[in-house]
Amino acid sequence: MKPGKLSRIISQNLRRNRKNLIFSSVGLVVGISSFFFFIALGHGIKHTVATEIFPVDANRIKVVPRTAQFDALAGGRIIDDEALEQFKAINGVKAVYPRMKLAFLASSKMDGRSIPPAALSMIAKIPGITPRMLGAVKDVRMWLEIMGNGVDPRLVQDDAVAGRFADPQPDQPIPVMLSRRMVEIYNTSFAKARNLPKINEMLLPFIPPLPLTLNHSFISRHLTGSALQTRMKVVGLSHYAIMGGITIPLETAKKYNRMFAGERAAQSYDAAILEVESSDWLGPAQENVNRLGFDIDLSERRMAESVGLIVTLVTLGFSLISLIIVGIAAVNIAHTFFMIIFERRREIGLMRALGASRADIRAIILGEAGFVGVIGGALGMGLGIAGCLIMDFFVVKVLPDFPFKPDSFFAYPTWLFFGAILFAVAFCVLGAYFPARRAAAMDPSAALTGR
Amino acid sequence: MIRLENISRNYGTGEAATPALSGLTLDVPSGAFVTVVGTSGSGKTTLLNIIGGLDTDYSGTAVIAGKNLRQMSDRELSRFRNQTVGFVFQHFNLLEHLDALQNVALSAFFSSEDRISLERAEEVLVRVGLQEKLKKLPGQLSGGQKQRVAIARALFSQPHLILADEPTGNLDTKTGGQIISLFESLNRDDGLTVVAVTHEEFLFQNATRALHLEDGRLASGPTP
Repeated sequence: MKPGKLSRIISQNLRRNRKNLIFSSVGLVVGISSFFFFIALGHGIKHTVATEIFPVDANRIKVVPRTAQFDALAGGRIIDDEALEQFKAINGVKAVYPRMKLAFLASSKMDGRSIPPAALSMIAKIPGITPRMLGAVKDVRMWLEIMGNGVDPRLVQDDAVAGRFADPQPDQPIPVMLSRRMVEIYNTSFAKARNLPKINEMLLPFIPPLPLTLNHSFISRHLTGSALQTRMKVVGLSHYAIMGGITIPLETAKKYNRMFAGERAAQSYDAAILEVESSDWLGPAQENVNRLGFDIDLSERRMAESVGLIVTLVTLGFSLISLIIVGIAAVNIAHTFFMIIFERRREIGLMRALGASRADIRAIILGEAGFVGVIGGALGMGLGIAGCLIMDFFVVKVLPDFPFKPDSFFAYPTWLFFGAILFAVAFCVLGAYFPARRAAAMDPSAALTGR
Repeated sequence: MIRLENISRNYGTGEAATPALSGLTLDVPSGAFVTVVGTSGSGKTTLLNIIGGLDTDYSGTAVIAGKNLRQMSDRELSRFRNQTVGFVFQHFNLLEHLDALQNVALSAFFSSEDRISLERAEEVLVRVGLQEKLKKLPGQLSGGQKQRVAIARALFSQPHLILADEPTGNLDTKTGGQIISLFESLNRDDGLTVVAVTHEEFLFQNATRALHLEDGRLASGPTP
């Protein structure tokens, strides 16, 4: 049968049976909407985990000195400039970003009263900053022990939004990167409880340089040498910054390590990030790194994969429930089509008498089911999107802030839109398959005489 | 036009098998008007279904319009029904949700032509005298008018053979007479071969031949 004629006959039949079909496709709409909802939720959570909580760069690996005792006894290697050169020479390695721990103690004593009035008035103009927050800033009194490290500025260059991240001139404050994760926790718990402003990229340019004392501790009394009073300026937030401390330019870290901890501390790195040409090079690069006597730190990647796996399993579980609902709907649709075929027995016989082949009859029934699937799938998808928006509204707008609370809990991959419709069509066609087969196999002479 | 050789058809299997036709042989030339007469259960409708390619579960040979039906695939048999045969049923078998024009054009859905010609449907409805009822639904038509629509539907694809199963069975005598006249006119004026099944032979007095079926066998030879 020609497609145009088939679609006409299908639309005529659907109009006639719309009540039956609407009733039987309710389950389909519910199933598809819950399928859409849970898949979008799973993707949204995985997106948050992958971009905010455990961001993993697919083309980068973190190399650390080997930590096993045996290797340490056997003289395990440290990461020094020679090792960095060897890393650069590995096939497929595009760039090497060394990282160095600060090998001395540091502290910061912050006092809101010392913030210049001009800086305060600038902060006051930022949208969202209330007079109460400004008062809280003025009242700040914090004594902090500072940990830190130094990273290659190329690694975080895109994150520097409030100044240059490079070794500063002697009279300039040290540029500092803060961990996005640490800031998120600060924003949603510490700052909220104390009515302090949230730290974000918009606020950074207005934060004045803060005091920093190198080679000093409020706790340890066994420091040698004199302390150095300087300042630090937060220039950006980065996933590559240390979680509980400050991250400064590598050259600055080297300079102060040399000054306070000696030459050896200024020449050994605690890690190096290797960037490969493509993810295909990850395996060979890892093997070469191991051969050179170093380990790959996969803790973050494994954590991300574990969380991703848990989210995937939970999503699959809920999706399975949705598919069971759709499956039950398919049984309902099958029942409806059996009923419709029984009612249309004579009509099918007539169509066969007028020249419809078995394939034509099958195509008509399956076409009707497919159309029900498209409509049911579209309605289910619409209901699913509505569910997502409603949940987003309640959770994002109504629930109080918590760490890593995303702007939306849902993500909508393109395939999901097609997949929802395709699932609906597939289940409907599956449901109508046996009725269609029975209708096609009907003896036309028997159907016409009602036998 | 119709050549049947040793046609047998049983309903049911094994000991429960009931013969509907037993070794029936028949030859009907093109342009003939044949009535098939017999009591209920004598095999009249079965014979019509076999000739029309609706029933393929028989033994023997059926060659209609030069085509051996047994050798045809389902698709070929469907095309044969669509193009060569026109069926008229006792209960009209009109689709209640379609108007007269749409009912008549129904077979066009299964033809190989690209479009559904409502002009052709109108033409055949005019031919059967229903030019005023083109847009009427079956529920708005009398029994005789319904049967005329059914005849128009049978004529739509310009078949060579009309198979009518008790076409007057649901009509009063006067209306039945009009329908019979219409069949006679189709046979005489349009040269169509007509095979009509009936309980009452006297209704089709102008038939060129009457076949009497008894228990699935021809009870008497051809009559002029």
